[in-house]
Amino acid sequence: MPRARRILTAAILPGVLLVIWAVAAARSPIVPGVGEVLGVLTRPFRQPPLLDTTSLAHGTLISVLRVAMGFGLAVLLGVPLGVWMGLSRTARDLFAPMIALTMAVSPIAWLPIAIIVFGLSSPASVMAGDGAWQYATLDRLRFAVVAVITLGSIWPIILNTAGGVRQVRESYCEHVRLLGGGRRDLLRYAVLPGALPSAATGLRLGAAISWRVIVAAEIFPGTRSGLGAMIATAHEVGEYQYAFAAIGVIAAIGLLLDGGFRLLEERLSHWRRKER
Amino acid sequence: MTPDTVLISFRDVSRRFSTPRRGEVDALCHVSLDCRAGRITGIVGPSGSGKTTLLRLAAGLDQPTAGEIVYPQWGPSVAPPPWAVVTQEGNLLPWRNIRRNITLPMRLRNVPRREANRRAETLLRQMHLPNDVALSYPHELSGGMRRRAAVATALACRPQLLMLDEPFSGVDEATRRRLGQQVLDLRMQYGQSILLVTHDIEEALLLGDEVVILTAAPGIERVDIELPHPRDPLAKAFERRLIELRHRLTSR
Repeated sequence: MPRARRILTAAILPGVLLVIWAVAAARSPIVPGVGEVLGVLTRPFRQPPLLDTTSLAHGTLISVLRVAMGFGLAVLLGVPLGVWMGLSRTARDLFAPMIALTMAVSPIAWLPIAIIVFGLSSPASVMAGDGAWQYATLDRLRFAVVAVITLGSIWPIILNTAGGVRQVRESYCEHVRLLGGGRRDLLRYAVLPGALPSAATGLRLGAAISWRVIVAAEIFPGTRSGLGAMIATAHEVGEYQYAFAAIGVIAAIGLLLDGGFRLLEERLSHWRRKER
Repeated sequence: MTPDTVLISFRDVSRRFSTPRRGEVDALCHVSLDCRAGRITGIVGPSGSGKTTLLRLAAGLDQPTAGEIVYPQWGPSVAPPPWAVVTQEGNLLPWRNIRRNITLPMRLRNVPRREANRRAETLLRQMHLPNDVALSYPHELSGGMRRRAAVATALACRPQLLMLDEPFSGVDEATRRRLGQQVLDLRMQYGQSILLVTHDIEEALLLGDEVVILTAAPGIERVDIELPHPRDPLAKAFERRLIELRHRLTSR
């Protein structure tokens, strides 16, 4: 039974980790037990009594909203820019050096600069909701943090989209041209569908980076909400069960995100595996 | 359009390419040729004789370095082009299923979706492709089916001239014969003008109303084939013409 064997093999390391954790929790007063962490996870709406952050559920919502905004903006800007760079040599010459330079710097390093540029502004400073809940939530989506996520995730989107556009076979473009298609048809029927699988890879990589960047950005002093902030404050007061629970949620959402985008990528590139 | 109307006229056309290793290479040298309506013009020649270059020039995908190509019926920059090309790669977009491939030229000409789908079904039948092929993707089909689907796509724009570049290469003998018969049917039943590029002299003789021999030497040799259709490759007259054409090809 190769399938059962594979599942068993995959379960070995997580199992070992669980055993190590249980032993460590039993021997150390700092490491929380599995039960304590499960207690946090099963009551996600409870405000942590000793922590200066919101509940686990609200923290998750804040982190997800920040990523959705930052990553969404990266897609909106990155895909058209990637298509342009794939099509035009001038655009490539214009942006490529800048991209290479910016990519070399970790996105988190931009946070202080982003704070200088955006200050404490948030969607709430532009459009406040009616209820206090909405206002409080919107206010936490600081533009500075969102900008850092965009800056971190936009590069793989741009580069993969541009690469995908450049890899579209000339014969496909010629085919559309011969059928009487104009420039717009060429883009619609040959270039964009041909570049989609590669662009989807860019989206998957970008999404993974956004999710990693958000946690790091939230650990940064001054951010008092989100899963990253929960880990940081749990560490400050020694309430590690909250840090462990937050790490569990981060891993689960990261897995879901990766799985979802992998599925999208496979669906968009079914034809590519057997392209002749 | 009368059968002898000239569709494409090559006037002393040459095409030279610059290559990094071999320098300047003449792919086509001083070719003059008329391609006429209602006929199958077979272009034969060994590999590297410039057959595909000639077809690309005829289709407007490339420009000659000397001489000119004239389209007396259509003018210099007619759009959409009144010809269709089936390339060696099989001109199907791999991300569209066969029906969406066949309907694409019609969609580009603003044919309503329903009408385009109806015509695609007729074309599939005409090319003897089963109905379920419509929803398959090109990579899911056999080589022969892909070629037929490619011809159906080319016919979807109702071209006045159909250009086929090695349409039967890489398929087995039986499929080859069936495809050949379908090409012949297009010419016999619908009066379709066809420009057929092939390296197989027997194939050109089996289908062509005229055969143009292309070699590395400058110019071409044009031979009218008066044998009646359907042609029998085992008949004496056919064998005689085949030997004669082979001789002309090798002696050039």
